[in-house]
Order: sequence, then C-alpha cells, then structure tokens
Amino acid sequence: MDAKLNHSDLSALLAKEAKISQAKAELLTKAFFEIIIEGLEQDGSVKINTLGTFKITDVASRSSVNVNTGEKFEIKGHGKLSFVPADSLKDVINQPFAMFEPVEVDDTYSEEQVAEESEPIETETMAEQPVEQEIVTTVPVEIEEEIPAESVVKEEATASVSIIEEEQPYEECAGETPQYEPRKEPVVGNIAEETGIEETVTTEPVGNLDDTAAEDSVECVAVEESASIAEETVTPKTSTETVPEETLEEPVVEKSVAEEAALQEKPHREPVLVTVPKKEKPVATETKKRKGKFGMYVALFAVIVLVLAGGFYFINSNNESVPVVKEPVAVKVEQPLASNTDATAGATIVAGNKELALDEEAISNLSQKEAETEQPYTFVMVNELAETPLAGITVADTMLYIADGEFAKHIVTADETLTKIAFKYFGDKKLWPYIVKYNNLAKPNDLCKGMEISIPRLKPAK
Amino acid sequence: MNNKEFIAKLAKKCGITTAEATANVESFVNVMTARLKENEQLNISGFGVLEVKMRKERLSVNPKTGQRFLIPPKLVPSFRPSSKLKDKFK
Repeated sequence: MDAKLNHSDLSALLAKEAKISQAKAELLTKAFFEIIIEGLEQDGSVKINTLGTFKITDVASRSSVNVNTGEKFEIKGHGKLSFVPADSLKDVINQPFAMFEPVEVDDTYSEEQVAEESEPIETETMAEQPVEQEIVTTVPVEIEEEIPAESVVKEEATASVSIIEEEQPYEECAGETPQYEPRKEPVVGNIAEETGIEETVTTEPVGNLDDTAAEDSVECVAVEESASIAEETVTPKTSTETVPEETLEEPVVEKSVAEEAALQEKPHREPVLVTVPKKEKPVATETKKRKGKFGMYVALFAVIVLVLAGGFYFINSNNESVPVVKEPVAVKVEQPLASNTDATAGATIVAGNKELALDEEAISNLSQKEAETEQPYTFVMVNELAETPLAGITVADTMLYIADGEFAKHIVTADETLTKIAFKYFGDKKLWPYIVKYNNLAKPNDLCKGMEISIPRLKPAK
Repeated sequence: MNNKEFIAKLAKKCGITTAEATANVESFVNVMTARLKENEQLNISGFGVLEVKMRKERLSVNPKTGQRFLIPPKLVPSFRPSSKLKDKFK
C-alpha cells in the first residue's frame, strides 16, 4: 500500500484521463458510486463490464458463543456486500505474478527419506574404522619378511616392465578408491599369518618391484613409491593383486618353486579375495549398530553403577580425600572397571529391590558413621533411602555439590543440550542445573550454537 | 442492474449522452485499474475501499486423484465496503 487515494484524487485523475473539466469529473465519480449503491438497493447487484460485479450475498444465520459469558446466541442471517472482479481486472492486477503456474508436487519425497539415506553412510564410515586398525597390525608382519625375501629372490629380476605397467592401474585405483583398501588388506594379513609359504610368495612381487625399480630408471614415480617400504599401506595391496597375474605370466618366463606355491595359492586365495570382503562389511555394520545401542546402555548402566559404588565406598570408608566429583577422564577410565564390577553392582541393585536387609545395613552404617566421624558429605535423601528400596539407584541426585572454580570452557555446538553437556563433563546429565547456576543463564532453554559456557568444577558440599 | 442500465442511469444523472457516459466510465475504470496496479488503495468515502491483496502460495490436493499442487501466489483486487454501506444492506 504505497498511497491512499480519495475521491478528489480519483476525480482529478479522471479529468486528466478523459480530458474533461475537474467539476465534471467530480460529478461523474460521485454519480458513479451513488448509482452503484442505488443499483444495489434496487436489485442487489450491479455489473460494470470492465470493473466487476458488486452484489449482495445472503449470509445464513448461525449460532455463536459469547466469548466472555459463554452464552450461546444466534447471529441472524444478513446481506453482505461483495465484489467479484472482472477477469480483465484480475489479469491486469495479477500481472506481476502472471508467470507462475500451479506445479504438481511430488509427494513421495519427504524429509524422513533424507534421514534414512544419510544414516547408512554414517554406519559404513564407522565400520571402516576397526578395519583400518587391523591394517596397522598386519603391516609390520610383512615388513619383517620383506627384507629377507628381497635378498633371496633377486634372481627373479626377470620380472618384466609389463608387470609393472599392469600394476600401475591398480595403484591408481588404490589412490582413487580408498574404500577398497581396508576390505582387502586384512585378508592378506590373515593369510600371511596362516601359512609360512604364502608369506614368502606375497612378498616376492614386492622384491621384484624393488629390483626393477633399482634397474629401470624409466619407471614413473608412483611405482617407486609403491615399491619403497616406507609406504607400507600401499605395498601389501600391490603384492596381493599381482600374485594372480604372475601366476599367469611366470610359467612362460621360468618355472620356479615360487610359481608352484603361487599355483597352490590360487584356489585358496581367489575365493577369499572375492567373497570375504563382501561378507565382512554387512556383518561389521550390523555389529556396529548393535554395539552402538548396546554401548549406550552399557555406558548409562556403568555410570549408575559407578555412582552406586561411589556411594557405598563413602559409607564404608572414612576417607575424606576421595569425593565422587566426576571428571570426564575419571569416568571414561573407570567404565571398563565398572563393567568388571557389574556382577557385584548388580547384586547390590537386586539387594535394593528384594533384600531390604542390605540397604538397611548400609543406611545404619551411614547414620552411625555420620554420627561418629561427622563426615563432610551430606546425603539429602537418607530418609527416603529407608522408605523406598529403589532410591539407592539415584544416589547421584542426593549429593549436594558446590562449584569450585572453573573446570573448562565449553562452546556449544548444534544439537547440544545442557543435559548432554552435563553428561559430558560430570558424567551425569542431572547435574545440568549447576551449569545454569554457574553461568547465570537467564533462559536455560535458549541455548545457542557457538555460545561459550564455563563448566564449574564440582565438589561435594561440606 | 447490468452495465447497460448502469450507463443509462449515469448519463441521465450527469446530463450527458450514453456514448459519453460509456467513454467516461471506461476511462474511470482504467484510472482505477492503473492505480490499483501501482498497489495503491482507493478510499471512496461512503462507499468503501478498493485495494489489492496478495494471496500466498499454498498446497492443494486434488481429492479425486490425490495429486498435490503448489498454487502460486497471486494478487487479487478486493473491495471492502464502508461500515455505513455494510449496515445499509444488513
């Protein structure tokens, strides 16, 4: 709405447009609208060709409710003046948006699908991590055997340049598709460990490469790099894949013991190379998924157990020096330990559920020792412990902490909540109010990405 | 009342011929259309307001075929009668 034009503005414009006097234009515009009203009174509709139709439509009576009193009342039917613009007017007005047309929307594509598509990719990358670790372990084994193999098999310097040329594409593949490396390399490691003969054979082509690298200076840098022992990650790959090729070529050149060994390998290795990597992957992903969920539960359970164990540790020991301030390192280190003590901890939980005797003993111990030694730790829910047998599990909440200086600065990332941060630093998500209190956060719900939060160092209240 | 009757009445009221009246009505409508196109509001006291409103884009579903269409935004001329006129026809 740029401007508002009134009656006189319109008549002035009309005078200009129709080249008539101002007075006449004013008379005309006035008459124009008066006649419309007259026509409406007359038969309820006025049609002006290029403008549209003014008409009175009937509105049926309906019941409504008084918002204030809640009383029902009826809105009586009445006439309503409406305007239906002519098509020509509509088209002119809508000209800025005239190029738009209704588009059919594909309803098969939704946001859920996007989420589903992205998930398996993450699991694949996760699954590769342990495989890569295997590579590291297998590599040193081969280095040890490579050195003697080179010295022995120098006779086989006959390995022609053609072999090397054939190897190059594989090396390029190795560079381009790193996903294939982790799949095949562990297989080599396994076989190499299984039989001693095969080990020597796998290293032979590497030895060939070394010799030819020394002799032929024409070779490209990529081959030299792959031949050098420094790049262990590449060498095992080239060695495995050249073996089947050598078995094809070597019989033509010369018949050696190595060739026989290679022939023996053939039935063993080829199926292994083809089938195993395919099988490995889905298994790895599945186990990873299971491990992911299971790991979450284990971690949660471990934390609870830790808290429980810590609580009982307090009760049983008079030492003041070991508070249960959970720092990230401590939690992580103790998790495996906690899994070891699962059995005992589980027993204590069962005891909490079924055998009240244990709890009562613990509580009596606690109250006695508090009375005797005046421990600095205050257990708020001591009485509740006695009332509810399950309360023993939530010991973490019963501790009162005080903030003692700053432990760390934390920059909030996307998807992070105060509870997550609390879990990260304190090992207990229920301790998030301490972060709020320490930072004087006015609106704890409005946590922004990139916000800097200082994490307090928590000490049990004295 | 159709267009013909309207022009006849206007000619009679202003003391002009129907041909003149037709030409004048046409030019007046043109003036109003041009103003509305410039996104201006026409306030006519005692009658109402003529203005342009924007209808936002929306999704509509064909109930028979289930096809979903994105209906583009559009500009629509609209008329808001004055309260005086509104009461008159109530």
